[in-house]
Amino acid sequence: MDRYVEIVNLVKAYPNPVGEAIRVVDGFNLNIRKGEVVSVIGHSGCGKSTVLTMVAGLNAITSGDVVVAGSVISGAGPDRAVVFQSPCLLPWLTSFGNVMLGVKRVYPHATRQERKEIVEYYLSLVGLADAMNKYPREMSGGMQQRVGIARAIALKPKMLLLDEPFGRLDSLTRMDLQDVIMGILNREKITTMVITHDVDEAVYMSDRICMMTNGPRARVGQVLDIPFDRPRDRRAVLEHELYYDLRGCLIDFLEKFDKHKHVGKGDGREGMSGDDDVRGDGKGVELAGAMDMMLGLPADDNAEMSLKISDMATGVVGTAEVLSLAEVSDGV
Amino acid sequence: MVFDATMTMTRMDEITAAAEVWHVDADETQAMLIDGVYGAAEALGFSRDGLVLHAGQGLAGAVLARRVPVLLRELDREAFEGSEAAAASGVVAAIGIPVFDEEKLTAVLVVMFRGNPGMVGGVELWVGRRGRVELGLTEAYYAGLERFGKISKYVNFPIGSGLPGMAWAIGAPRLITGLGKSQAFLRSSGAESAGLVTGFGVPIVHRNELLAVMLWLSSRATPLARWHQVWESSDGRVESLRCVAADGVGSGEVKSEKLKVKSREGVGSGGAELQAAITAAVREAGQRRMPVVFDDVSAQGLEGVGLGEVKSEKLKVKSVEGEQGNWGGAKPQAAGWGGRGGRVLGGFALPVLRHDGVRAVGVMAW
Repeated sequence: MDRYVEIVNLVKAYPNPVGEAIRVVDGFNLNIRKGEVVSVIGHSGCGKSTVLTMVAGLNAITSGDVVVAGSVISGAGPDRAVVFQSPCLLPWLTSFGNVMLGVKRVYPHATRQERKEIVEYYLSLVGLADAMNKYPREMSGGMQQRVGIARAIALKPKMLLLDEPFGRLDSLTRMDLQDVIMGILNREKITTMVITHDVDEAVYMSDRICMMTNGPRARVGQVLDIPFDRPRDRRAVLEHELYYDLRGCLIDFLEKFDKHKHVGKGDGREGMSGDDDVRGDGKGVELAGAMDMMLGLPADDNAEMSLKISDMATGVVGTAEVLSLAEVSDGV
Repeated sequence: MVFDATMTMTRMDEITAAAEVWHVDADETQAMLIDGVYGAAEALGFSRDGLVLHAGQGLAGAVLARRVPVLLRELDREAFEGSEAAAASGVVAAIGIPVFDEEKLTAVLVVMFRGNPGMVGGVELWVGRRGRVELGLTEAYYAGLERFGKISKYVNFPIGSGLPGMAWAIGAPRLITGLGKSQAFLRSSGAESAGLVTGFGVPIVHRNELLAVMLWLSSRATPLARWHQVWESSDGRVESLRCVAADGVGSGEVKSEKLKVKSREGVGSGGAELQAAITAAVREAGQRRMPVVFDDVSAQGLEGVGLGEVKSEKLKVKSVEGEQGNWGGAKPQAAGWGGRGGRVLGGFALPVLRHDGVRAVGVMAW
């Protein structure tokens, strides 16, 4: 299926102070095959995360469509699991409890024992068989992110969305987790979009790399096929005769847009500075903005965040619950 | 530096060796060679005189049968008619480009290329992939561009991006000069390393639908084409065709049909005879809705080669660098045209047709 995921003319616009619509993302087109891993790379502020949050259904689409497995998306759903830079674990739950949140949702008719086995399976898959009863505060950042990955995969999503999932980790942990995800994707064949700044990470993990032009009016500038077989071995990839040419192609693209970031040149659509975090005039925080606020906090701050969440729009809570990022009980 | 006539004339070291126009009969069963320009390869021209090919036979026949552009990186007896004569003229590759008038395939333009050691240049065909949201490289002929070619086959462009994507988006030929520094040419680093300076993208369409984008990539030392022009019609009428972009040797931009040129790096404006020949070929291509070839045109009077600024249609050159002289301060060996003695060996005008008229005409001359 060449078009398992179709992102068609995706546009995100925010009003500026005088009410004009500023197109942060303007006409983003991308088709993804079933089971394919596609990285999206570009300079900070180019709109990568904006695209991901629109695909996730966390950010309203101004125009265009996202079609996953033949269905046009209309909001967040467990068919598109998200792993953010911060794992956003619920601090009052163990790793087992955090993953169980999603399992309950997608296996509503399973028995208690079946659910337990499913949670244990996914935690084992990320190498946490011995840490199922640990609380977030008892785990390192890398371990917490493993729980976040297990929680996302346990949703049995049609599409996995990774938003700089290793951005806060040290190099060694980052490589470990890359291999954890690669192992899972090799086994589960989940269609995946990865947002990253890291050229080597993109080359190692992806089947294709989508390079974005600078925003505003960001779009796909170039797409690079990565011809390495799967499963991949890091050493074999590094020693592949094409590795440095492919890497060079990415760096050339990024340098081109970095050099011209503040100078409008070329066809007039690129070269201006932009910011993912443009949110218009601040009237009405969008769902994505609220999610960003919540997700942008260090794990240790989540307890405090859980108190503030009651002040947010009920939609935020609902979305967080759908993605297993929050637990909602009666009376809350 | 003064022009030296002994430096010149036709040679066998041009990458582009020949161009031919094949007329396709009404029931699209055979193609007949009706015109050709062969430069120094006169024997090749004689050997091909009066050729008729049936669908599936030879290069023009392959285009006729498949109704898509066909690029041959090697010319063997089965794929290319008269391969021995071609080889004798140094021809190693060829491309066949279909021209459609509405539903009907009316003509095939065939262009042949040499590949002598030291030559640098390339021709690429980019076609729709992945539900046609991206263009990928499907076939290419490269001379001295191994590294550039190795990575290019993994690159894809969406509509509007890179030279192929831009030609696709506007539905007309697109010219980029100064490839190594170009913001619009996304493989500029590779182009700079390889010594490529000019890229020319031509959309090949069938009933307004893109079949492919053909790219010509030229180096300064051994260009596939020394002269590129884009003519566009705003309303589909031939009379409305206007030259919107052109180059010569360096980077230049023609701002009007009167050839007022303001250069960034150099300027490209031919002599009156050359420009008249190009204009006539463009009009004829538009009127006949067919490719048109031309050759042996004088480019004498060519001024403004090199670093300078042409300020009026009289092509007065204000030299800003280099020696003063006939060439506006250019160094002919670097400038290309000057080193060739000011004669065009061959060229063609290729129309991009749409249902209600002519969208554009791309001109290439060498």
